[in-house]
Amino acid sequence: MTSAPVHVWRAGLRCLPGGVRLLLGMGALVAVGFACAASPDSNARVPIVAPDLGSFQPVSAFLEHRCGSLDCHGQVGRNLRVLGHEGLRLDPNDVPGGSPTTAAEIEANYGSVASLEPEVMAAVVGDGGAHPERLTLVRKGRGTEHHKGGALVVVGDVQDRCLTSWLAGTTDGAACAAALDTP
Amino acid sequence: MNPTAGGAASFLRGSRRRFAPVHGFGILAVVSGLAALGACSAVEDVLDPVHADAVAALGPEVFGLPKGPTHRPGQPCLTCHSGQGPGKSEFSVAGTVYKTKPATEWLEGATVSLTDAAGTIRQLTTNQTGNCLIKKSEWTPVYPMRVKVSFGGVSIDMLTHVGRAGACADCHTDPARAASAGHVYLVADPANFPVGP
Repeated sequence: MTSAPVHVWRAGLRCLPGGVRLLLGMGALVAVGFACAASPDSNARVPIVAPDLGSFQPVSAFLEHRCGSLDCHGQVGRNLRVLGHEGLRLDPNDVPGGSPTTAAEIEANYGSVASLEPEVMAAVVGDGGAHPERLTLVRKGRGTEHHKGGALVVVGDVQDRCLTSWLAGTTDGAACAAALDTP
Repeated sequence: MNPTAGGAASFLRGSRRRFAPVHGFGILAVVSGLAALGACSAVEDVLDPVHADAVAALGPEVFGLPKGPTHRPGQPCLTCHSGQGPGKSEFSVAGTVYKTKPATEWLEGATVSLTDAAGTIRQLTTNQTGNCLIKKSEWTPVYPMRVKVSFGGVSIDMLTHVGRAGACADCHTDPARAASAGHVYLVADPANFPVGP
């Protein structure tokens, strides 16, 4: 049996219209939420663990050629944005097909790839490149996850070896060069 | 039925109750028909405002160019002709070719060769406003696709493949800038433009 004050309180709530009771409940939830929420530390940084930038250039060239056309990843709105000679340029004074890919564009491509899924990237790199399919970048290229551009990479082909070898820390330059021959 | 005024009023009141469901259904049918006839585009605009905005951004027709294969040169054809409307025909690939860079003169009679990833080749010929097209019912390429433009013994291969966009002007807008290759042209230097077919 409930105590008298609780019994009265419940009876009082029941007197209120349903909509008012709902608003009161939502307001209570919001108030609790604000009370519990803590402001994030604006100085906090998440370290990105990724393969070496110095060995990324051949991989960048492959990504520019195969993925970076203006109608695909050579667009500013892409999560994976690829810049370079064959597509979107970093410098507003450059044009597609104009000057060669710049060092800044290669670095931007590195940032794009490394920061796409930083936690997963760190795990793959930490495991020496094992199970690279954990990365959406790899799955979409291989076509094992829905990709508007289709399945462009076959597991084990020169394109796949170019990317996965870089993830493993030993970029296969020959594979990356051969990957440029893919139309 | 009582012929008196009171009886008539009573009958009318009764008739409203009797025929209300039919009357209501009739209104619904008329409204639905009007919606189907005249409000479809409005409904589609609401359902896909991105597409509606893209169509609106193309602006009005170019003065002097009638609707048809010669209209709107240089614009992204598949914005309207991709099956979402308002263009009636659905294209798989379409675009405009200009003589030189900068692109001001349309190139009529050029051959645009399309080679898709399956190795299938299709050749289109540009019309008097430089436009060329192929309908989806005729061919849909397997992407990526390679493109070459030829005229008067001169050919130019597209630098990159086409990843998935069948409208040339999706990427080839004028002027050329960081995010655009500029209009499609045969030769960069007007001095190199071939004389004769």
